[in-house]
Amino acid sequence: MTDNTVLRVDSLWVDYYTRSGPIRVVQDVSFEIRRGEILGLAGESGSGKSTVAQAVTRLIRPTVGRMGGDVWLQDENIAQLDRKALRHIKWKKVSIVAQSAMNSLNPVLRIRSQFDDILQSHGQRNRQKNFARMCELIEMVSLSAEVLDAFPHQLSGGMKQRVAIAMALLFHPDLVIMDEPTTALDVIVEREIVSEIKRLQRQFGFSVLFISHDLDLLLRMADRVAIMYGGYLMEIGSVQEFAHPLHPYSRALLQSFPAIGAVGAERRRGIPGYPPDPANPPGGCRFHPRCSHSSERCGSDLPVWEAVEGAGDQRVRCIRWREIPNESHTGSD
Amino acid sequence: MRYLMRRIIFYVVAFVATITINFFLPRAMPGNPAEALMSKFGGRLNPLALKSIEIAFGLHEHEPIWNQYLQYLGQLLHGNLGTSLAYYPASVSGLIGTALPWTLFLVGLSTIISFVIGIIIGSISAWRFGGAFDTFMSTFFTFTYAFPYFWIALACLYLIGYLWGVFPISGAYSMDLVPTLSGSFVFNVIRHAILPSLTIIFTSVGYWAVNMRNTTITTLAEDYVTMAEAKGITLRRILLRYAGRNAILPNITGFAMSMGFIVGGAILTEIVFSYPGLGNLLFQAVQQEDYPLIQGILMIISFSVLAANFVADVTYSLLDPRVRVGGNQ
Repeated sequence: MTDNTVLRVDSLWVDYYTRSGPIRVVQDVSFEIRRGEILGLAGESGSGKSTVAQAVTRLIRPTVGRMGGDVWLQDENIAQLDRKALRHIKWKKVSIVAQSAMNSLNPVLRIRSQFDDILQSHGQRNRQKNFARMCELIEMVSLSAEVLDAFPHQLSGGMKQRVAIAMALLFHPDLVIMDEPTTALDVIVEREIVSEIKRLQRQFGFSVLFISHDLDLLLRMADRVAIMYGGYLMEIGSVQEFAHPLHPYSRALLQSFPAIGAVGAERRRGIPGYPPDPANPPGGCRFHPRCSHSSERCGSDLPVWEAVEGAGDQRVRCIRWREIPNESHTGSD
Repeated sequence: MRYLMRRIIFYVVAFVATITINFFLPRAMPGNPAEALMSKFGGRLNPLALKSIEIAFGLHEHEPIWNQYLQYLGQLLHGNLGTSLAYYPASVSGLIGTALPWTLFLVGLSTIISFVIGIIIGSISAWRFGGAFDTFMSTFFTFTYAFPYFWIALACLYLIGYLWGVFPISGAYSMDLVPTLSGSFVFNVIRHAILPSLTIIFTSVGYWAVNMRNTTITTLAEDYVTMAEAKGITLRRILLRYAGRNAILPNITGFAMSMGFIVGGAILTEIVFSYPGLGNLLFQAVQQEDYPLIQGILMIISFSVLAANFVADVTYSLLDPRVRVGGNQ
């Protein structure tokens, strides 16, 4: 791996235990994130995108499920580390802004103590220094230092999310995973938070794995985008490459969003059918029952994670991508 | 503070209601204590004696009930709960004063020990959810909790106390000792308390352990605990400040309730082990129809339940900032 790569996930899989045995919710997921890059990970609910975030940070409890594959955070394989070594890496090299900042802060502790818990757990016991660092961070996310003395329930949703971002940047991590950080917020606050993230990311140069179901948002803020469906990555590529997506699912997904500034009666199209049941997934390509381009082979052959020759590092998982006529997602077909 | 003020007002109102009911309830029953005492003598006392007993007991049948109530309140303020019939001429407050410390010591300490052990085991069970420790403990505690208390108490009394003679079988201290604060007396008291205390802990610890286990399992699924793990916070801190601190909140109320019932709650223990506490006293009072004593003990019990609830409210507001409505915002 080159020095430029912050995270390399290789053949990651995750099982969750259920009453009727383990079910596979993430399968054969491989991707890289480069230094200073924002990778957007999109997918429907239940596609496994949040599970990827949890697996990358080894947050899947052994009682809940199991995982395999490699997760290289620079020169350390997170998937293989023992708990002790793992604890020292966590937050220093990779941090998370969770799906619901509302519930990601401990309701009975002041924000200040929650910062302190992280700092002291990582051996930083100088109270004055710690406090100075908290103030610095809290002002960095455009909040006043008074917030430190508040309890989480005294803050608004947007403020809590800013606090969560400030916490994530505590140790200047190489990678910040943002799991739907704006989903619980209204559109105006979402906009503010997103531009805040962009600004901080430019200032400090950390990489971001930004998970969202909002593909439109990802295409506006990310450098590269990955699309997940039924536990598999279906396509990954730069935002420019996504102007002409190769996978039928990516195209269908893009067509289900209204184009901003579109004039006239452009029709949005939903994708017929429902996402696959992870306990009983369809054979072959997970998307074939809903795909308008599916052939007989799609139901039996599992497509491989195939590099698109000539393109940067665009990859696609579809056996028919060469045969399907290329088209722009804003055009009509 | 506004939260606490509201609670204090609530408790004052509740307490006044309690003592009022405590006053009117016995008076709504037919007869009075003097007549009860008279009937004990099978009518062998003349009406003048009844009159003098009424005066001695402070019964004022001829006065309007409103005046009686005011007098009763006045007596209460002076700590005067009347005179016992069964232990005449001992005062009710005197009897309660002698019995209460023993109950507080035995049942109070047992409940606290049981709570602490239960909370610790429950937390560990939850952290090892589904593991060998958890499976064993959950089964074991369901078993002990379902056990009839009197059976366990009698079995312990018979086996450990009588057959093996490890611990004394009755009383709070040996009859030949004079209560002093000497080491040998304290040791004697502790030796007497161990057996009844063990039976209380054995049958009640399961309740706390199972409850704590369940609330902890719920708390462990909360995002802030997962996030604390992601932050690399030490396990000790996560256990205490993130999982434990939040999981214990629902148990505080239950604990305070049981602290309130300590005063009257261990009747079986005290009877089986002939322990000179309040439960035993209440049992004797009921058996001997000692109305003033029953009334006095019931009032003490209701007062302690209210006091314990108040302590729970205060503790809860200290532990959970979300209930400090209008607090330090």
